[in-house]
Amino acid sequence: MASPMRPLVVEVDGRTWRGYVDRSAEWLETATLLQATYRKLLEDTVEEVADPRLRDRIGDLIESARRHEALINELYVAFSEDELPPSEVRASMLARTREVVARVEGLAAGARGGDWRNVRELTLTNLDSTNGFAVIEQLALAMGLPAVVDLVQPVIAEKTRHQLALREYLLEAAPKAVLYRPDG
Amino acid sequence: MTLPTVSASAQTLRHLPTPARPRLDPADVEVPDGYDVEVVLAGLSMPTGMAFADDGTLFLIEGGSTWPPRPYLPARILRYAPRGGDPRGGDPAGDLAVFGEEPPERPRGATVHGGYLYVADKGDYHSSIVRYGLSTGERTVVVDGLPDSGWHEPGGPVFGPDGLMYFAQGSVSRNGVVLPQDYGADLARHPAAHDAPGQDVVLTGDNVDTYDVTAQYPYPVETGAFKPFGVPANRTERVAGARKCSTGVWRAQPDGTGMELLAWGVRNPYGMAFGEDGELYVSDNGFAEAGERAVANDPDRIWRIRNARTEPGSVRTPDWYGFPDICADGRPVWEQRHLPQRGRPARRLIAEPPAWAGPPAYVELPHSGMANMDVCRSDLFGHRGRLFACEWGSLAPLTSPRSQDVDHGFRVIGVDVAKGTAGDFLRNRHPGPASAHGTGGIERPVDCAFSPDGRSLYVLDFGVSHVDGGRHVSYGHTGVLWRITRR
Repeated sequence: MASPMRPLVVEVDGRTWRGYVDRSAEWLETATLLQATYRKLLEDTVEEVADPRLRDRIGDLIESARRHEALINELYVAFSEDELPPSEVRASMLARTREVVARVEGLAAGARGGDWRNVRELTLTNLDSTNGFAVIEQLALAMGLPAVVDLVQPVIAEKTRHQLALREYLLEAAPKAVLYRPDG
Repeated sequence: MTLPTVSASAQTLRHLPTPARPRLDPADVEVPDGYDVEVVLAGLSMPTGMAFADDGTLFLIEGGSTWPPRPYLPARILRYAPRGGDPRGGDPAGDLAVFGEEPPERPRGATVHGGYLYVADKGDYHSSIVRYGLSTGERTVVVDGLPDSGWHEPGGPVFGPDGLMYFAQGSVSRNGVVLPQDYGADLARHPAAHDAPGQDVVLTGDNVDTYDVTAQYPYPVETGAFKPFGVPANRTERVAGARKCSTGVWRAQPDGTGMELLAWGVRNPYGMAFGEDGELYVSDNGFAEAGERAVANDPDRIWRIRNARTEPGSVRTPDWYGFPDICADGRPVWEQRHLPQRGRPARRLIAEPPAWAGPPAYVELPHSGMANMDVCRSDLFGHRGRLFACEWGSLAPLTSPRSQDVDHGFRVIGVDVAKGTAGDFLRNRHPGPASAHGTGGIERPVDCAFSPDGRSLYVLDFGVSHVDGGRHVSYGHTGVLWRITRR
């Protein structure tokens, strides 16, 4: 018979795998920033909206947005089996989140009285943050991590439905915002 | 370019970092008495095909975008040689390097012939055959423009006893009409994709009603056979046959010239092999029982391509093997036995069909996912003359609502093509993929090839591709190359 062979493992050795986990952690940081931006804009916008019906609708999205943002800590664990993201990543993430949130506060303040413009910003930031989670899914599929996929797929599905709803709010209000806008 | 690899112990293989496939254990794989199973490579991403060179070098294809289309990992051609370059020397581990990359072409099958590595690329709108000089690495496209961008795969290439290259291309649509049950993004990416017949056909105009999922609202649309999504066919409409059709089987000179259409109507001709009897055998998958043109109980099969025995250049009219209207049992898709439990029944698409070229040389259970094949030409291994066929395994409940279809496939069978019978050669102790039972056995065999010394059968295992409910996910770095050797 042929002599026994010693198997080779490809790209799943400890060093390569640690590199994959570290690069994924960097993307989780980016996804956190994208979701925090969206969540903060929702919180600021709901206070600004004059239309009570639209205010209720946007208010309904905030709880989900907070839940999705909090889930990212679970994703760190599912990626690396660590309890929490590395301390340097956490510190960096916190600093950048504060920076982004400050920028969002400025954005919302600059758009005072402009419900429609805020909703437009929400469609963009929700789309961006949905893609952030969708990229996490692709990384998890590439690395054979079903626990991450199971956590993130319902988030992507829910945020996709929210995107359809936000776009409807935007389009419903569009004629009034553009054609019926008071001059000056 | 070399790849990060390490030589692994049996203990390492039981603690892999991929939770989707955390352990590999040859003891969990069943083969006939007198054969041993080993792991050769682990951690491959979406492997789809392989080919040996005469010196024992093995070329492995990682398919890039596969089933489902994401995750899209690097579409690489890997070159594997045991250390010292001679697999017959029995060196304990080998060298693995990247020989080429095929993005965004989605490589599938491969073969080595006359100093070249030939690769079938699924492509984007069109599939192709490319070849690499083994000594130069130079890449040349030898065949291009086969209709694709849809559901099914290119087949081959293989070389016949006549020195000609034989290859195939599956259907663009899943079940005869382009419909939105395919991955939604496909309709957005390839709005003009459609099947093309291999000879002139007259259509019934029985179009399929559905919704345009890419529209702002799901507007109703009507789609006909051999038409892009949303384009209806007319009753008595004539569609001209094309030499570069979908569902076709061809032969050509090794440089791609003299291309001749031998057959069409083969839905998913992923596996191709010449038998010791000189016949060309092509594996094929049955219709899906899902969607707005659903067909039940269509067996998987291996066709014998009759026209491969003819003189090159002599085929005036290609044989027709049934797609999109006839199942592998020779019965129409609209007959009682093929009516679906789920989805809308299929209606006739071709008004005056050509003669059917069946029956198949071998009929398999529906949804077994028949894939690549190789023929044993060695007495050293045993089973000489048998056609070894990989069964990738079922995608039920995605493709069938029937509980009995869930475990079909997930094995390698040895087919006696003369008798039309087969027996299991490699499988798990329990039906289905290892991940369904938490064992270290096989997941989805996609290709098999005998080593040039005739002593070993190598089985390429795609890795974990999991279906539950409406969800289908595949995981990278879970592919495995197994070796089976006679004791």
